[in-house]
Amino acid sequence: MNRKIKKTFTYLILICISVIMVGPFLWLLLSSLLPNTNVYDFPYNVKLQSFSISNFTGVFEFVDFGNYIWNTVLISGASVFLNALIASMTAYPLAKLNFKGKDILFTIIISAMIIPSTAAMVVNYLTITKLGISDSYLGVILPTSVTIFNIFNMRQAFLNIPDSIRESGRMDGASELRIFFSLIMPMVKPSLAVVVLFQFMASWNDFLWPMIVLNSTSKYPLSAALTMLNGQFAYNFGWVAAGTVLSILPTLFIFVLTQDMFVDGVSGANKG
Amino acid sequence: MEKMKNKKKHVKSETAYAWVTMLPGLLILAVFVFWPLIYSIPLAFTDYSVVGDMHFVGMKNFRKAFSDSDFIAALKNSIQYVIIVPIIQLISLAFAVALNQKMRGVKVFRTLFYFPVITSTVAVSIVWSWLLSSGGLINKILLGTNILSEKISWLSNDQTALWVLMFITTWKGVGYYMVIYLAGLQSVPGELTEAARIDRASSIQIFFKILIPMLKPQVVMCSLMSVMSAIKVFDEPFVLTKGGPGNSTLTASLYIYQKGFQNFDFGYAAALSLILSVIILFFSLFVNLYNRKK
Amino acid sequence: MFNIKKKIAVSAITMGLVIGTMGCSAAPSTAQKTDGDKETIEFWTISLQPTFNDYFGKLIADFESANPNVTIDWKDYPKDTIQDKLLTSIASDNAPDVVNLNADMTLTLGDKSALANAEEYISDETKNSFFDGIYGATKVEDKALALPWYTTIPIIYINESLLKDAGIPTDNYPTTAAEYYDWAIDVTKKSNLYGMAMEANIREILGSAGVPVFNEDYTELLINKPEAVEVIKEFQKLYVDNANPKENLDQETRAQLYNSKQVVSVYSGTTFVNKFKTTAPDVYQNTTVIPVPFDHSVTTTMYLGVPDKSKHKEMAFKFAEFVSNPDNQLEFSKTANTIPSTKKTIEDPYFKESDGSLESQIKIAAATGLEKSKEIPVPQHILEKVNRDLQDILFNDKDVQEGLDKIVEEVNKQLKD
Repeated sequence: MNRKIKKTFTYLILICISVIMVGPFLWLLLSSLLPNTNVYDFPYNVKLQSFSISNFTGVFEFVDFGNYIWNTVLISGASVFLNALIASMTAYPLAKLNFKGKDILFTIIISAMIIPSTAAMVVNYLTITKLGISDSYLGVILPTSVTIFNIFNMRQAFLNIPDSIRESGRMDGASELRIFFSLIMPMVKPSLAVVVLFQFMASWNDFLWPMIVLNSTSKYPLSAALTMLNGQFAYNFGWVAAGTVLSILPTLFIFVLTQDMFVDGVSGANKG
Repeated sequence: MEKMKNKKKHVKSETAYAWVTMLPGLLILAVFVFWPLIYSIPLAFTDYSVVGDMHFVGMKNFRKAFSDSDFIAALKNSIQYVIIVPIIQLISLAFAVALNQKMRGVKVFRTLFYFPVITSTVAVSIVWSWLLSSGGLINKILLGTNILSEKISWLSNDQTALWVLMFITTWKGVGYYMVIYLAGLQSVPGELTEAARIDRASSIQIFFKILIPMLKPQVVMCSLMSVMSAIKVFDEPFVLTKGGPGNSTLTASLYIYQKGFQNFDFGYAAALSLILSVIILFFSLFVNLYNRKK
Repeated sequence: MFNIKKKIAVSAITMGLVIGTMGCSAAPSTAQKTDGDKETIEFWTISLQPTFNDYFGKLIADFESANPNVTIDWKDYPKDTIQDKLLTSIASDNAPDVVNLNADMTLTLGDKSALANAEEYISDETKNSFFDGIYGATKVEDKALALPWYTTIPIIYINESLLKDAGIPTDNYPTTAAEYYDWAIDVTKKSNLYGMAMEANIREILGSAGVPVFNEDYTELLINKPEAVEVIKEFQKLYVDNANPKENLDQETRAQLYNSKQVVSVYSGTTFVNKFKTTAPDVYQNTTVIPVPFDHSVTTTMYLGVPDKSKHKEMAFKFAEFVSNPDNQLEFSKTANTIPSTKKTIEDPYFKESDGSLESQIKIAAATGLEKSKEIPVPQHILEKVNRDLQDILFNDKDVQEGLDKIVEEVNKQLKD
């Protein structure tokens, strides 16, 4: 009996917390599915017929959605891939290899997180222009193709791997490259999943930098394109809500996908 | 002798390998992270405005900063924001532990708890500013259950505004750290907690005496990140209050942004950034020290 | 040991090379602009695409056929990012040629000498075509920083169904500030909603009463002078009786309050109707508008400025003159429901016609306000600071004179730098 009460209680609390967490998004979702209803006038008088997807179709027509989604997929995909690769490559020596200046280098890298820089955007834009890659996706992706946070994360993951793995790999005659990709990387899946998730999210939602770098609106990623919905003249809250809902879906999707990677339920699981 | 020779060779080739592997990453960091930082240091001693001419002004910006009452208020607010760090970390840890279990719907809960993180700041602002307005849902609930006798304009009252922003940042952030802790919990062997349960340890004891210590690297990293984000907080005040009412929700980053991008006083903004970074450094060292002690 | 040094050296040299290339001026962008004899004019607007693609398509085609060697490259950005974009473009020596700016941005940029002096390029005819108040608003030291374009005039939107519910008559609306404030307080008492929603914005509060905010050359803030203090004290009373919400009333918030029927009347510009037309159709049905019952209508005008670093200033101003000429402004007003800044345009019968819709009402109410219009630019950072502090004084019922004195002291100090 006690156990059942405990369980129900736990579920109740979890549901309450979920409501707080998801509530705001649900309101947005509701607003997007109820065109022609005043969503600010609580409570609503809605019938089943009031629900429709016309806000979504409206947004699709007004803004060339397919194109923007494709642009964003390209940009985010590249950013995620590069980060996973380069952050791992940079973090591995910092965690596992022996070389002089290792600690100093790591401290220098970390120290960059401390200094905020407002001028960064302007300076980086100048750099991109001088390198001749402004108005290109490379210009958008390159500055954040590796971040300190991701390096930090991966280094932590590598530190947790016993040295014996490398030893045994070497004894089997494998090259360093082979050891890295076939033995070590699979072992850091959870952290890799975190990097993928966070980087995807950062990339997907970033609108300011792409707008600075890109000159043609047709190259914009989705988040930048959605800002077009929010002006003085083209204001339709239903569309803004629909656009926002649509832009949240991919990150949600990636989260569900990667969830399995960072919680594999085999080790460290407690019994309820 | 032979053995030592081999060892030396071994160490040598590791260095080469290390630097070659790190080169792409270091290059990118050097050009896009460090170069702007280095560039902004001399900038702090000028009146650079991007659109106009630039002149050297010596220590003028720094002197101005110390008599700038808005900047001082902004620093105070940013430091007050650090209060949320222990709260966010404890809550995310609790969530991570709670949702690390095998129970029905746990994946759904994890996704739901993560929602605030993926909701863009713009969406968050639209929704929360409506919920918190004087005729919004929060007031309706609080008035209805008699917790309040009068409506409060949560975001327009200089006593409550900053605390409300802190709440929203917490709301938005717990899912983020929860994910990191979940990943970390994977390397905590289940046997440890099993053994503790058999010894009749309570859940709370397990939480504080086993799990947190085992997650120390994550806790340190997250605390550090959390402190830095708290001091550098920008999004919530920018989108919801723009620093008002008065300067009660003005944070250092927001003020620096305003100086730079609205006033085009990049030289002054650079100086303020340097002062802010000293403060962040101080806090980071503090967290580090605390970590070493424990 | 030697190897490590070598590796560091190699890395350093490589990094040095990369950083070094930044010193070399590749500058491919300037070449793109002049293609043989063809001049390309880069034209930036704020949030007008894709809504007005047709209008601008025709406008640009007309200009290009009249000027065969010119191509107009039209780009559009949201209000929040246009300044950042302008900054980075100027920084990389790639400034646009004609930029749509509001009055505050114009003043801030002008303060840093970033805009070319229109007076040197435009004809006298053009200078006289605009309303003096609007054209003169962005003149500093005899330099005209920009050309006026479209403007929005404030009016009062009223939700009549809320009045009817509270048993308040819907004729005999207020015609002076004092009447309006009394009306709002009365409505608040009878309806238990907010009688009005007007932002605690120094520009609008003082400007509507005809009291100056700055002195002539923007070196001194005048908001603590006796007449200003009086106006603000009257405004403060609205909060005591809860007639005006104690909230940060930017347009978004006012829209939310109006849509959720928490406020009976709203002070806002002519484009505010877009915020509730589709979002709250029931409110749209019940809305009527009246001209602002103040001595002046504080206009929010969009201007067209030419950056000083533009490489085609002459042609840029020619295009700016074209866009802001009376005929094109008339067309734009018809398309976008805006008010023109050219004297000739407002005389067109269009502004007196009505097709019974709310939009026509708005147009007519606004047009009557144009005669008493005032444009009051305030540099952005100063406006932000003053309004923040003003909010504090008003919401928390603090001493007005004391509070204003403090603001003036702090801002005047800033202005001296």
